[in-house]
Amino acid sequence: MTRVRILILVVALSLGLAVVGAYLAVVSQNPRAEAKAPATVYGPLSP
Amino acid sequence: MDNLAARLHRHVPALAALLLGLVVTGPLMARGFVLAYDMVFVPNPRLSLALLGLSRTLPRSVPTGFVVASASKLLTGQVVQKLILIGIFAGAAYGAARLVPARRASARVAAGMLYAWNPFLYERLLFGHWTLLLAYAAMPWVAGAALEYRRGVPRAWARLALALAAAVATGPYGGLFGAVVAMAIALFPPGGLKGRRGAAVVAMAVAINLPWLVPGLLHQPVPGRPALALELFRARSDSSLGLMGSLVSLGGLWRTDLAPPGRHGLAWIPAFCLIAVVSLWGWRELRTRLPVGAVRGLATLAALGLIAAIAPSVHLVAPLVRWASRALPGGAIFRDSQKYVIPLALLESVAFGAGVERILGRVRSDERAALGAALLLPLLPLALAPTLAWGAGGRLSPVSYPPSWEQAEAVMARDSVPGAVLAFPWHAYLPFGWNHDRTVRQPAAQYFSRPVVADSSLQVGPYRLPAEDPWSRMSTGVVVGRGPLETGLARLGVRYVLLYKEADWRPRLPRLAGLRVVLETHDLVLYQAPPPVRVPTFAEPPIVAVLAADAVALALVLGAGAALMGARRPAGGPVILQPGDHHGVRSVGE
Repeated sequence: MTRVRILILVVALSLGLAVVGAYLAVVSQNPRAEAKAPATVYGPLSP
Repeated sequence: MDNLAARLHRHVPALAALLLGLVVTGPLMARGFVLAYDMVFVPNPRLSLALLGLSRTLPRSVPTGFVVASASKLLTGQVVQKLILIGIFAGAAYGAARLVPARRASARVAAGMLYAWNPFLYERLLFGHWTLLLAYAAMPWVAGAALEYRRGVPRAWARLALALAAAVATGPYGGLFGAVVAMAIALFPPGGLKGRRGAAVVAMAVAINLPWLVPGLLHQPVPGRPALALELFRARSDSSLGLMGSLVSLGGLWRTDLAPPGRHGLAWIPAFCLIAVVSLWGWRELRTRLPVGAVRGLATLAALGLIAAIAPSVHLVAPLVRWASRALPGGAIFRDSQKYVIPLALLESVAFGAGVERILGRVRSDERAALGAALLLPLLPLALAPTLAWGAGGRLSPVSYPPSWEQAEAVMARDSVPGAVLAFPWHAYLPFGWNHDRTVRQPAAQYFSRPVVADSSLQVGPYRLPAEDPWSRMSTGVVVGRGPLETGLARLGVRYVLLYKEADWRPRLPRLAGLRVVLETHDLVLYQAPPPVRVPTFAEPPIVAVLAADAVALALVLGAGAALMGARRPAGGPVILQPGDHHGVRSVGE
């Protein structure tokens, strides 16, 4: 396998991993959570 | 045929930028307005001198408000917002792509992808910071124009002036970032511009910023709690890489709940490490293909920006920043410190593009895999915020204002008695039901033709920052007090009370007893109060000084436009240098 093929494989795997990670994060939490912040609040403070 | 293919190839970065813009904003192009936090657009914004800074409030959106209102008269507010949204992403991507000293379209597209597809854009888009994002999109154009001016390209001063004007049109932060980026790239040694040409860059940067600088300096001081604001809005870690890692990967907004999904996990980190390695590899390439001083200038600015972003969170330095934000005029710029990663984003993106160019330069072009690498490497930045696609993964979508808003406007417009409209409940930001419960800054001030008095103090968790609008400050005592409002309204100069049936509106009803209901719909009630005793007036910056400042900036823009009229750019696309060619000018097609 040439170096460029290894590079392609590494890039594809990294990209795929990130997309799967984001997908799992979306399905495991409510992405609209911030919209349900109390009405009067500009934004919740993180810890 | 070859000619057509070559021309198509040359336009690949622009087409890719447009495609990127459509992929992100596609669903936002549907009918309606995208309203989220500070992103407020209305169908027909009021056009007035207040939008030039002749107002009781700080010139936070000068001259942006004027530009948007003027454009809305021609195109409608809806079309203007859509152009802005797609312009942010396509403009940022294409601007960064043009800046890369590369022959391969793939390298340019890679730079554009990283610049326009990262956590910074995701977080700020959800937060509605469209003016900052427009400023972000303008930075590569300013950098490119400053680079041309540094190299002595004919009429580059005019392009620089127009690029700076575009940055200023996005607001004070755009003007500031544009000025420092232009100066860093044009003036930094070795080989930086000196004498008249160097002074011209500074003079242009100052002159073009006058439209907001003058009203800002001449405005009455507003009460504030700078130390609290600095602490509330400092950059925060939104990833497993800590604060520094979050900032270097272009995240770190204080609203960590707006970070891209998965950001707290590890799945995106291998891709980020690859981007970092490729960018470091490209760094060497940059120093050979661009003027060394310009690269050092941008790198120094990026480093300073990173320091400014992290400083409020570092115990040893934070007191100094707190002092600066209290004692220096305009010290409030230190708050919301994450925005200072903008120069770093530009540097990383250009270096990433140069790195891709270098990698592809080492691959035999006849290898089939070379095409795969050229197609895949530019997609790597998608890993930093995969859910940015399609309206941030559906977290943003357009809505229409309820018909009741237009009815309320019609009722108030028919009334010749002067006086403001007071917006209730008394909160600066509200999650309107018709906006899918998304929180947004009250759009009433832009929507209605009467002056609007609304809460203008930011409430963050248990903390509240003082209201900046003096009319709002004056009204707070009456509004948050007890008993019927009617008695206090006349001396506040209020003619109408607009009650949204949103949030904590029900407990307010008894306070509105005695006022005449002139409109009631399912989402709001409009009350009319007796004619005000007097409508209060507030100190504003002197009109002559403000208009003179506008005239200076406008004259510079018109002069630059005139200088470019009839002038032809060198054929063959952006100007790039070849290795070893540090000062000459050469035009190379894609």
